[in-house]
Amino acid sequence: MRKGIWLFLGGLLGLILVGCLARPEITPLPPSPMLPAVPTLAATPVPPTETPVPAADSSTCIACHTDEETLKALAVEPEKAEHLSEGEG
Amino acid sequence: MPPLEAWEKVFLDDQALGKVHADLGCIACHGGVGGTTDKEQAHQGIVRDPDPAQTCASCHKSIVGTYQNSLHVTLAGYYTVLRARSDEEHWPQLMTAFDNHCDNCHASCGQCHVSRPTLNEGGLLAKHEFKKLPPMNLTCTGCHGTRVNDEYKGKNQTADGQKVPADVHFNPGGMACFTCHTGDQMHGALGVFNHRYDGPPDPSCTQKGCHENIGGPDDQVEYHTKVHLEKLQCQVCHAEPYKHCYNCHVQLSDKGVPYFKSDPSEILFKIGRNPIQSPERPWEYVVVRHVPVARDTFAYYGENLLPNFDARETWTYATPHTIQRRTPQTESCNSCHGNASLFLTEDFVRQRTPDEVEANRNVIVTKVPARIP
Repeated sequence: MRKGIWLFLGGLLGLILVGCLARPEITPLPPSPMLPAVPTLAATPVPPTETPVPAADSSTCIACHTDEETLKALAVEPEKAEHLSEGEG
Repeated sequence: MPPLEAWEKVFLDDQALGKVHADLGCIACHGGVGGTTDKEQAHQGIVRDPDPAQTCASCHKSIVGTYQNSLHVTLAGYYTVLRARSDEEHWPQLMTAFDNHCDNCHASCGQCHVSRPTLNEGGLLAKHEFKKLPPMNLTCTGCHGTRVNDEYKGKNQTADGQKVPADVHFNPGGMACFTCHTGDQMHGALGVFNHRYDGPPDPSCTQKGCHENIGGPDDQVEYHTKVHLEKLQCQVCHAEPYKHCYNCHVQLSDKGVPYFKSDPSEILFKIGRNPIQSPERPWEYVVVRHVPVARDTFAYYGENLLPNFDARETWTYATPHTIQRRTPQTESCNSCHGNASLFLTEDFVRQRTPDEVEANRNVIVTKVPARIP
């Protein structure tokens, strides 16, 4: 009986291996014919990044940036850029 | 979009951040100096738009791992067309122009999920709340306003005063941009592309959950014949007129401020031959849009910076956001057959853009489909 189970499991493993080998190869699509190649970026591996640690007390930042009156007093309107453009962008 | 005053742009609600982000505090992502109420001192070393790899990646690793593939980051669409039209000799001058006029079209994580894009002078979206779904009117159409926004929301009218209706997906569909343009697409998770129409159509009209039964046994639409479906991009029948821009020229003011001038736009509908025909986009006819480039667009920066101008069409493959089930083209067979006014003919190109006939050889329709008796 035990020998039968081992034979069954061995056969199953063989089938799985054959199935994997028979997987059709994925052929990449041909490049779009329209244009010369341009440099492209590969997916950029992101190095392990630690969760940013609260490096310092932000209470003064919060206190100012949640106080409308203080912000109105301190915020500086940027110098208006020249608007010389004509037509739709 | 309504402008923000300087103080409004940085006015926040610490409760709006949500607990996880709020727990990090400001300085962990933005730098600066804590423990002082002196503005100058507090802002030393401040980073307005934190580097995603140093901040967002700690939690959103998979997104940060691919977002640099996004066309919003690579701007590959610009490089693709400029490389085709220019050459090595003129590239440095062209890149000076690019840096001054085009390079600010980037988007970062924060410029969609936290603030308005820098191109639109920034400003927090909602007091520094992190928006999982960016509000389309403050982010997407803030940049894509001239063509996409006006078309999608029905703000255009033709030269003879005909109002072009809003895209049916917007009204009555009520679909926001991200209904079709998914996070995966925005985050570069679908791969590396050279331009907007590189690779398979995405979104595709016939993708799962959309119009997937087109051409199937249950499709009762009379005009959905095998020939039509094989030869015509969906928009050929289902787009209303859309915007075309012409003759943009860029330069710097005496003070070094970049600006541009372009000719008035037009609202037209034009069918051309498919310039990027491929197994993924097999149609013979597509709708085409004139893009604002001209042979001397960058003349301020040097002579003949686009020496291979004719290498690319200026009436380009398009996917206008003016979709309707019924359009002037669907009224009858002869709305299209024999109707030369719908097609990008050589006569039309000579009349509208006489300097660009050669550039558009492969999209010009030489034989308008015959009228059906």
